[in-house]
Amino acid sequence: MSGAPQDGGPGLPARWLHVAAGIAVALAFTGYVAGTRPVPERPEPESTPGASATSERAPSYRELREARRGDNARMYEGAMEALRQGLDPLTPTAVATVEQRARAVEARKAHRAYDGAPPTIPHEVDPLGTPGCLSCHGQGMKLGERIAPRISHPPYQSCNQCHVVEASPKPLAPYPDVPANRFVGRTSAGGGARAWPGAPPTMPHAEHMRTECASCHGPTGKPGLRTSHPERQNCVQCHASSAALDQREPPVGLLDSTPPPGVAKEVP
Amino acid sequence: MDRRDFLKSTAMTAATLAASRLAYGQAAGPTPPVATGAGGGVKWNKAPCRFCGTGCHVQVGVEGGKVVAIAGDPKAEVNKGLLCVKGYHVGLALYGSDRLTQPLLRKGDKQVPISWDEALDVIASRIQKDPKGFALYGSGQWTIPEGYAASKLVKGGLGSNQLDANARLCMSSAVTGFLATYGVDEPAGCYDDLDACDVLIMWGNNPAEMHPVLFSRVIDRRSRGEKVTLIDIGTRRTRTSAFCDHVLRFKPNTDLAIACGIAHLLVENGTWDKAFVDANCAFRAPSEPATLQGKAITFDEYRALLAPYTPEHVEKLSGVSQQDLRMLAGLFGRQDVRITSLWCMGVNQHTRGTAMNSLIHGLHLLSGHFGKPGDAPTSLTGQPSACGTVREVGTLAHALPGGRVVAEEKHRHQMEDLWNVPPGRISSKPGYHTVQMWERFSTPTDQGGDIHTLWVQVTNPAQTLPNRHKLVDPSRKLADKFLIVSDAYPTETTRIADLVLPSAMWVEKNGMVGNSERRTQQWFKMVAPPGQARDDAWQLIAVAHRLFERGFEGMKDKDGRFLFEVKKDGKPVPIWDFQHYYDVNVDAHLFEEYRKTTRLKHKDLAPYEEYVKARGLRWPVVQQPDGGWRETRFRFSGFDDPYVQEGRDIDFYHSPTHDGRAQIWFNPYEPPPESPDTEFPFWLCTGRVIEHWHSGTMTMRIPQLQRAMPSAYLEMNRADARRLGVGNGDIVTVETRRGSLDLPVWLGGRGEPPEGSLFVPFFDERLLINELTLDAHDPFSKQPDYKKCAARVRGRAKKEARG
Repeated sequence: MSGAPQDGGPGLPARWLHVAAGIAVALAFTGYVAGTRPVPERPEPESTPGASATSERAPSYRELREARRGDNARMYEGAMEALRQGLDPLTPTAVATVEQRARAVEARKAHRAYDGAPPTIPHEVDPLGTPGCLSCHGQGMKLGERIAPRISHPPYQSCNQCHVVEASPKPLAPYPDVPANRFVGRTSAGGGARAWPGAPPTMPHAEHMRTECASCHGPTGKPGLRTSHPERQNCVQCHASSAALDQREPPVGLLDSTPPPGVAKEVP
Repeated sequence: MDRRDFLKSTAMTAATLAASRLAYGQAAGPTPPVATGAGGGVKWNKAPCRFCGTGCHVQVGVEGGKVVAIAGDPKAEVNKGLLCVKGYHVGLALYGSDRLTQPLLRKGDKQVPISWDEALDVIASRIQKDPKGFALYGSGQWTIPEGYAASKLVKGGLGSNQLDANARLCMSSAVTGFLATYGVDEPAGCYDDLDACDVLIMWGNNPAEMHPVLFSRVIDRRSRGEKVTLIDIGTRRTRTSAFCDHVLRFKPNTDLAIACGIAHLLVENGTWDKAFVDANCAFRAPSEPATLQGKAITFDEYRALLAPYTPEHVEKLSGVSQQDLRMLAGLFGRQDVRITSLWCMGVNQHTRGTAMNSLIHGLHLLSGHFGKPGDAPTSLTGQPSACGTVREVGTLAHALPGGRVVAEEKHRHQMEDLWNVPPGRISSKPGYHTVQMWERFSTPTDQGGDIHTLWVQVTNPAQTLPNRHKLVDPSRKLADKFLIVSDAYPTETTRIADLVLPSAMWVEKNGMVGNSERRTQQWFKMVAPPGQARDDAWQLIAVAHRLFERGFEGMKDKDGRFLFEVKKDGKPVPIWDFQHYYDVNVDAHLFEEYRKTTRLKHKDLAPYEEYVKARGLRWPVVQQPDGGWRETRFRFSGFDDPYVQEGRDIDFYHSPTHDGRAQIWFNPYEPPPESPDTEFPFWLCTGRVIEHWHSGTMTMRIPQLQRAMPSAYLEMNRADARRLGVGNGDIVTVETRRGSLDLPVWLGGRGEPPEGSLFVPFFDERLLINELTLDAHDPFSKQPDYKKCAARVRGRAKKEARG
């Protein structure tokens, strides 16, 4: 590289030469660095024929506002991992109180038509694109006071097949006079059965779609439902599932393909 | 044998016994008390979901005489334990607070409560006035026994053929496509293809919202590390597009050009499957005058007809790039990939629906992508029993049960024998198809409007018929026209009815349905209907008996017995009295009678009790030497279908040419009946959303679904919105030559139409988009086109939709 200092006394011309050489080095270095830095990629127009010329134009401010609207809009494009707060499964948690448990069960009811129904989504979502639910709900996440529970079942690709928003997406609004619904859903079954005080309780609900116990009972679960021993990973080692609740066998005296007794003949 | 297997087998044996007792109407005997554990008060039982044509099985949890929970049925092959959001909330469909609970008769402006007895008298009198002017209009929501009873009542009892169903509006082009190609209705493949295909092509189809369980069956294979290429060929961006590897946007109506373009490339590149075609196919083209059979052509003629459909020309017509056309042709030309096509309303609600259906079948046949697991052209249906009831029982103006037609003497005689009615009872003259039926009902009697009374069951035509101004409303101003509507909830149709009958629904009655993959499914009544709501089949039988009591000849068989007589211990059971309707299993009796008609087209059904045990069985269900019953997954394929001739790989045994060959059709592209112009510059498309099913009468009463999608909206491209100066939430007026409607604009919502296109969902009874759509229909299937017409948009006051 040019501009190395020369031997000999530093006369005025030589000093100027040093300065000039220094500038040259600095310029060369800057140019080199600038040259090697990747050029920011221009957004590629969509390769599909459906994307007309309009998809290349810059979005308006209104569109940007709309696109970023909502709690989770574009969240999954960011560096979620950096925001993830530590969830230490090894720290034992306090045993839940009865009140805590009741509060947790009540809170669950707010988002479910019945115990076992897919919960509705308490935040806005992108109504069109591929859902990015798993970026928060895949492992579960705590961000400040907000908790994204870990999904309770094996991941499916199309989350919004089963989960819908619970508030109408803007700008749509419900009609004020929609008929009410008298459905009363099955409520939470309560705690599992214990063979004796201190025995591990059995599962009080079906295992189907609820195989990931940590979803509700892990560190991101509601306080009243958390396990006191999150460090133990193999829950079914001690907590037995119920063949009846899982419909793995017919209930006593009642075969799963016959009508419930009396009902078929019932007349109001 | 472990404990579980032992329990299962004991359960199975006991279930069979219990089922056969039920089938023969004997009391099931005292049942031991049920042990209750944690949550043990809930009793579970199987039923297919009430909503779409996928046919998912749910487990219904009942406690205290009410449905309290729903679970996906892990034993069901269709859905493998998974449901969609509608399915998980299907139990709530029974409990809307405004269920109809008593018969209502119009008196002046009011509908006043009357007794069932009076209601039956009113109907019987209307029929006796002029039996031939009485018409029955149902849907693919009729269960199989209900549809069969309807057919027997109208065709065997009244001796007319004035019976049609709204399935006419959603899948009749699929039927004509199957008939033109294979000579027999319904798909050869099944959902198992979705587990085996390498490429899934969706033609104008949005299964991520409309058949979500089937869609996730494919895309979840990706989670397991499998590679499936998804291709969306559509006119707007949807949730499905977001999952697709290739998204091809075409101009409305040019799907025919795309199909011809692919066939052209296969032929010109020599990549079509010559061996398959030589062995199993023949070529066909439209004839003059046009018939469903068309005319036979040679391969060279076929090639010449395709010649204009060069990639350059097709690109110009459709807007799909040559590169994408070559990509599609390249895939069809490969023998090492399995290709499944899916389509539903996009292809069927099309003035060229029959032609487009035939073209898709043709592509699969020409390229040999047929008859192997994963290689199938599969048309989907939207109603739970569009296949089982409308298509198989044949609740249509020209049809008789089991694939028979009224025009054929032999078929009429077969049904007259089965029903034990005198020869000549069944009329050879087809009745009116849907649009005609309503036209005649809305035309004054002295001007040729010869339908005076119309009875609607299980559907909501005032909302779903096209061009209601012309087809429905005029009848309401004619004094001698009488509209009877059976439904569970108040609807657009019950509101304008003269007589409203409250119906039991879903697990409030016994039922059987048939889904899109030839699967027949059964369930039992689990809860009592509210108030005086009663089964639709009972309503039909009770009217028949009222006529019988009044001495109406048609309701007697040859021996003078009641047409719907059911015996128990040798004595007739008074099933027309609802108190005794469940003394026997009427469904099982109707089904066993119907089952005898299904052999003609090799759509053999098993005895009732087999369906009690199974989560549905796909026909033909054929008895094995050991006495068991075996379903068929791949029809026409030698390795699976017992009716294929010994030694053949493929056998189209109902070929329209009676030589075992399917027909590869050429059908030209033609411009649509109405296109945007300067006055009406937009394309208007209508359709569905995942939350709502059909006209929303059930799903709009389910809070979780209604909140998530509260009202209809107008979807438009942002560029168009900017140009018109309208923003998100603004109310605009959409106008066509037939009507106008004010709607809130939703930008960046559920879909994204290209510039110049609009989309409006049709579920919202307060915002009836069907008043704006065309009633132009396919010449063969008579199915109207709801997917494209010309529209314009006018801005209005800017404000949020209803605040």
